[in-house]
Amino acid sequence: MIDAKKPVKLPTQQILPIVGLIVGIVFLYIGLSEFGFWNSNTHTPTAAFFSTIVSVGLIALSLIALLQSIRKPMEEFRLLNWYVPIGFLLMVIAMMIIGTVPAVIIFEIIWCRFYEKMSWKTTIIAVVFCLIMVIPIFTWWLGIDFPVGKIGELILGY
Amino acid sequence: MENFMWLLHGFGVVFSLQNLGACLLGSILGLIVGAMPGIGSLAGVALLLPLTYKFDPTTAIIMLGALYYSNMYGGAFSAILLNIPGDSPAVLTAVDGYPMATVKKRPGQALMTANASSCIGGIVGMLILVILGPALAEFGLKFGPAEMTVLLLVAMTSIGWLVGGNPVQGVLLSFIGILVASIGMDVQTGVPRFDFGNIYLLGGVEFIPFVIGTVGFAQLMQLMDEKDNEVHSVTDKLTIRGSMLTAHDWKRLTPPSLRAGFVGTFVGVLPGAGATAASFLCYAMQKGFKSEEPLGTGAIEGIAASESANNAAAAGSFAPLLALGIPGSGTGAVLLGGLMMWGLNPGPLLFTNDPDFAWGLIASLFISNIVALAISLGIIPVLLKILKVPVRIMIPVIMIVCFLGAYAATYSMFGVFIMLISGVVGYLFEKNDYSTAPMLLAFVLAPLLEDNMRKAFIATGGDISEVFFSSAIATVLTIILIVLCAFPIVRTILIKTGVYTPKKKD
Repeated sequence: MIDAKKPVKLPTQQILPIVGLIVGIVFLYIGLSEFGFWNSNTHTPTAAFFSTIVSVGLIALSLIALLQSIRKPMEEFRLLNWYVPIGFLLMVIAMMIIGTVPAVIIFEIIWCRFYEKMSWKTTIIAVVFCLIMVIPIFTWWLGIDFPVGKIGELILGY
Repeated sequence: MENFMWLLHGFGVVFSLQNLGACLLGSILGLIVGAMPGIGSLAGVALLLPLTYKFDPTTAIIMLGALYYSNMYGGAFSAILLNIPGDSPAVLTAVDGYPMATVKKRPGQALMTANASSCIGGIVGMLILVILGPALAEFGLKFGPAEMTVLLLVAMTSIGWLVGGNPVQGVLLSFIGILVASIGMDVQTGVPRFDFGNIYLLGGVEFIPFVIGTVGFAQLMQLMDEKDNEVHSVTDKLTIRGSMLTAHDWKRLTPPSLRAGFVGTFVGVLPGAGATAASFLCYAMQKGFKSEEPLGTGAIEGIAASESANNAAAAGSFAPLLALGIPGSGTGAVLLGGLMMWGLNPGPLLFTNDPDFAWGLIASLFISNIVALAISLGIIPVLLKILKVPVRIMIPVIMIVCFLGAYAATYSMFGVFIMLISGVVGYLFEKNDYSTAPMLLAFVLAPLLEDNMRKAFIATGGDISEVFFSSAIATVLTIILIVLCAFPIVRTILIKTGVYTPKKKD
């Protein structure tokens, strides 16, 4: 059984400046190779003029941040925090299959009742609150059509 | 005097059923979100931004202004009753508010002190905004592309420097925000750029999914650490009657509120300083004035200084936002993004070209202030129930809100995935002590900066000195920019050479 609260140490203090460095290099390379920096014929900046300056700055600052981070301790991460994006992703996949409303109901029940072990009363309050937001507020009032999912499309004949 | 006539005109604009309804809704939602520990004004405004889609621009921004403003009120509630500040500006409210509620057994009066001083600070801030806003806009008319370029660089650098502990990290994230904003069609040449072959990226990264992810979703991931924390309130029952202040209490809270309101407004005008800095500065300033009890022991003067300052700063931050199009904080950046989304371009011409909007918004802040005060008094009996909503219920519900907001902004799952990715990246940054507020600000201001910078370089034929020293205003701003950039470097050198030793935090 995985302990979701057990911390795992990762060198993200060093990884983030490296990611910044890579982003800077990618934007610098694409910008200069596709657009150039300055149009000497028209004496005007190109579409990559601004991004090139910023990319150079980002590369320089990422190197400084990397140097600053060398002595920093590793950061602790817990699986628990990642339940949010994992749960969210699963809910979005469910929406694409069974539609928004059923996915929201199932997601809230699984999270509140089975994961958080809340009472049925609290779970139903959470479900109703979410459905009020989805149906009367966003769908009826704001006029947003949320995905009905593959099953909904079959039923509705889309 | 002319400004106050315009303000009356603004009240005329606001007094429509729809605008007043939006103001009321924004105030109620802002108070509730602000009162809930751990969400804060930035996430609150970002999450509730999609609710304004239905309105016209003026009504929408009135609602957002009310939301932001009443959030400042709400932050004090959990600070006083739970000793957990709802937002960073309320940190010092807890220092005196909690002892007043527990040791002195006056929780209702502590809340009333916070509400009354918030209202006083807010009114002082708004009166200064009425005078300062148009004056700043008139000054802003002297700004050409070169001056705007340097001004925007100063704004971005100062926020990168001031927000968070490490200036290098702040500016690094500002640069990332600019690069993310540069994805999509180049507005000047119409050329697609940095789309990585993805047709969804041709239109650029949408503001709302990006901001909901970076702020709201990232916050949810952090809230998982606190979901099992028990909430203990200082009292079981609160009544409006039992919360009334005596004449002596009013006498104690008024002078510090007025003082902090005045100072807090000017702190709010500065980019990067914001409500938190105002609250800290005015609380420290209050130590130099007479207080009936020592600060930190439940002194009314301490609560008044902190709360008045943060509300005044919130009002003051609207001056550069409306007059120059430069937000002073992350929340200001979200408001600016909202304005741009509705096709409004804040800047020196806003007061001239769109007075209905500019003065309507300022007038709505006055109304929001009064409405927030009335609602915060009205909800006293149910406040404990709101504060006791467990974080573990809020998490799945806010996840749904994140989905709805991101999808509604783009009408596609692509927006939802942008939100998810921004959220995870935002969480990783926050976890490693990188504040994401400079990234948001840079994301919002990047198109304006790029446009002005390119125009300035075209006008000067690429001569850098002509851009940065083209006029007296540009020269002064360039000097400020150099000082801002040099300050952390000089400070580091002084610390390393032993010339300067920073004070250790307690």
